[in-house]
Amino acid sequence: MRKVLLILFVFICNNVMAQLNPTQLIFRSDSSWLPASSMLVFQGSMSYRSNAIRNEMINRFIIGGEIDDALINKTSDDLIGMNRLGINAASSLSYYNFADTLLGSSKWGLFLNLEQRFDIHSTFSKDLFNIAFKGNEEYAGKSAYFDGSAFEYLQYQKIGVGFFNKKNFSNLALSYVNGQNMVSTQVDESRLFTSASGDSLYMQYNGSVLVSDTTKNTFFSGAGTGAAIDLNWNIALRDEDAFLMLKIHNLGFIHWNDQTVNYVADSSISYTGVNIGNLYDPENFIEVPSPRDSLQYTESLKENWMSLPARFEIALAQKTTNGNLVEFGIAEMNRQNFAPEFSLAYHILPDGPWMFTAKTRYGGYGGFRAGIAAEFYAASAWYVKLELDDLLGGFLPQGKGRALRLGIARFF
Amino acid sequence: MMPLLLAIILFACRKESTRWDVDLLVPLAKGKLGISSLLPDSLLSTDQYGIVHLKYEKDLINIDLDTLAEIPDTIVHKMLSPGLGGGSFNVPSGFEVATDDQETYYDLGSVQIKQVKVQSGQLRYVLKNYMNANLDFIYELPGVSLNGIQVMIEESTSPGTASNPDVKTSVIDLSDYTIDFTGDGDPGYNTFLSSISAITSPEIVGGATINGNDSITVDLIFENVVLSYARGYFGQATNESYNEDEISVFQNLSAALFEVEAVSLDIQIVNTVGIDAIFQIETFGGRSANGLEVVLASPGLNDPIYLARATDYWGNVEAGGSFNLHLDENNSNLPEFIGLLPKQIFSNIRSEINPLGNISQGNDFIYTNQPVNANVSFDLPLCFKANALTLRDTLEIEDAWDEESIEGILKLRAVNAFPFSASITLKIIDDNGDLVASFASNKLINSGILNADYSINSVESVIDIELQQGNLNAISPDHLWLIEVVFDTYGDDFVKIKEEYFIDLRILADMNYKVELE
Repeated sequence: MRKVLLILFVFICNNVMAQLNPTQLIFRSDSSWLPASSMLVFQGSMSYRSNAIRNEMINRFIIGGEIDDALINKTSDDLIGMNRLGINAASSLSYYNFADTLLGSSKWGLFLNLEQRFDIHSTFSKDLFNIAFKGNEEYAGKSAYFDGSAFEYLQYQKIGVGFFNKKNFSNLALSYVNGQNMVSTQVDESRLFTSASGDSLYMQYNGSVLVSDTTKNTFFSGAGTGAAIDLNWNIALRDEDAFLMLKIHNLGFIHWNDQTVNYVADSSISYTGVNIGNLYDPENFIEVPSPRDSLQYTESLKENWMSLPARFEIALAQKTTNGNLVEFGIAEMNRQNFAPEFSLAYHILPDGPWMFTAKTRYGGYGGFRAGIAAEFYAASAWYVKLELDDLLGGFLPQGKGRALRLGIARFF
Repeated sequence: MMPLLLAIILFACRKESTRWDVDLLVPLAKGKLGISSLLPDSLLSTDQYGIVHLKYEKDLINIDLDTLAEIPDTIVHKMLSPGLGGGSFNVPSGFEVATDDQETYYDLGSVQIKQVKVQSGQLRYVLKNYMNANLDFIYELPGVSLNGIQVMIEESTSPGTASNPDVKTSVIDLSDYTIDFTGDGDPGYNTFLSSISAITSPEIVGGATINGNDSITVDLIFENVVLSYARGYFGQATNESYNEDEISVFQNLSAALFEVEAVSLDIQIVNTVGIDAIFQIETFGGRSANGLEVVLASPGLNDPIYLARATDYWGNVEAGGSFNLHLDENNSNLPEFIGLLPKQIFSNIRSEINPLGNISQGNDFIYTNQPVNANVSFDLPLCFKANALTLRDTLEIEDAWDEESIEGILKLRAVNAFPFSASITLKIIDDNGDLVASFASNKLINSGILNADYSINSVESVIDIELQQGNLNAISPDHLWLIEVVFDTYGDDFVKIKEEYFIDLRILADMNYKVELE
């Protein structure tokens, strides 16, 4: 079972989106689906990617087991000053109506979408990793710095309605967003100093933590409400010799209610151990300080507006002389730990129901990777897409990310 | 579906926890301990040379009023009747149905009390009327007075019956009252005067019909009376008093060798009561935890001591005889006594009062705030040499150890500016005192280096104590911590402990901790 799960997990996809963007159907001149009355689409994806954390370490968190010193040291050696980790999982179910017209135009139809998302965005310093996985012993006599580290966890649902172009699947949707859970941590100027002999610790901490209302954290009845826009705009150029694809996903916000807990700290604490008092009187031998009393922070309840993790992507695909396509794209997100992501793809469009894609990416939460995708279209019946974005790295223990994206559409 | 699948992958199919080791340096404890941290500082003082002295004082015996005489609780119980016989009789209003002048004598053996003064307490009276008449009582106590004014009780009662008397009771606060027990002068002690009369109420028209056998009763009771003064003759008495007392200062200490350079012990007895007395300290000794005993021996210690009575000048007491005996290492076996680190002191003291009889003509006196006081005090300058001087005590364990994956060492860094070495052991014992686990090192905290002028150069020692999971698992509320600190003095000479000596302790854990995520 574990092997099966691992195999599933090596599939890679990073551009998780709700609306269907069936590349093959865009690139081909075939419009055999147009007579369909409707289409039901299921999409799902899960991915994680980092510029630092190896798959073999993630494996330990997935299936359990010992993370040995060698692995921790290898990972630590790979770390740079600030490091990135992104995890997301999403699933959606959409219904496209081909029968209706929109504003009198038969080219456009309406669609409905229901989507569940789970996102983690994290930035962490090398020192923070080392303290967490190696301890503070190697920091004797020096400071471990945590400045700039951040963590964001979001769980939310979207229910949206939109219109789409029946020919090229350009679409625009407006969604209501239910914020289910949120934790957001921002670490500013913070460090831990361990004295050379280890007999004192000094911690400077400056940052904030937001936690959504834990009394309201259910599916579609959470602590936050919001709205989001999703856009896929596919434009054929030069008699369909080229295609410009503009994608905006998840552009929106969540308003977390006034029971959102906001912890703010800007202080320092020095700890040298409990005080040994009177040996003659053991009842008063030890005076134990209260760490909670020693930590200085403020706690308040207040509402919070938060942007959704939106992704912006633009790609240009050009047909080659043999009918295949070369695509160049760039993507960005409104999260500081997501680096601009560049992609270069080659799409092979043989005769028949298949399309194959080889794609390289660099950036985002990780570094360079090369992946493949396969799309299958059985005229007017099924469309299936499976995509991996790190073919080798996903299997190798030293790889730094895995993902799977699966889309299945059924025309009626 | 996909998040569900992810959740299944992440959690449901996990067969074991995720674990990794972290190496931690964590400060656990610190403290700068002076001599007052090792001994009760209330008993410590410093002389002009900066040498710390341990001073201890204890009562040896008290001669107080309680030991001399006891005042009875119930001083009057009387039943009165009209004395008419038969009946019934019609009596007019204002008719005296009963009267009595009473002189109550108390047999106190050879003790002859003439007068007492009350510090606090009450006098309760209970009047019971069994007659079918409204009676007015007048009860005079000529011997009970405050500032010369005698007590007179006036009470009115309703008619009662033989089975259901009318009862009147109340209390008089006796604080600062004087009670005279000389009576009418014969024999002139232990005698209490009272006078009672009961008349039918003048306000009842037509008088009353009473029976010749009807009665009234009166009771006088002392409640919670504490005396401040007594005068009389307290008799001749001889008493043997054996006492055993715990001596807290050495309670947690033991030693293979504990020699002191100097020590003194003073016994002081002052007679502040108006009674002649003879005391004899027949035995005075100490007993160690393992039952070893040393009985003090010194010339004069066991001789009978005659202490002449004090003199009372209208409340100002001039002490009579006194006795002082100074014992030290030159005239006694006191060093051996102290070397025992006694947990108990035992003494047997013979006392005799008024050995010459009633030579004061019944004017012995005692002010209870100035009883005969005999106390013993010792002064131990902390100049000693010791081998395996062990301070040992137990401490309850409140919480069980719930960490399962720790190993490493406790590093104890000590900067020692005491002229003795030390080893510290933490043990875990069960209720029977049996050893369950031990956290110890065979390394010592080295002694500071003593200079000729008794200044000291501190010495740093670092001691590693291995932490083993098995030992840590013994930390449980079912067990007790046993803290054991063992000292050995520096060199072969006596060391002098000065106030400025200290030991600076820092304890940190250098450990490997296994983080485990279930």
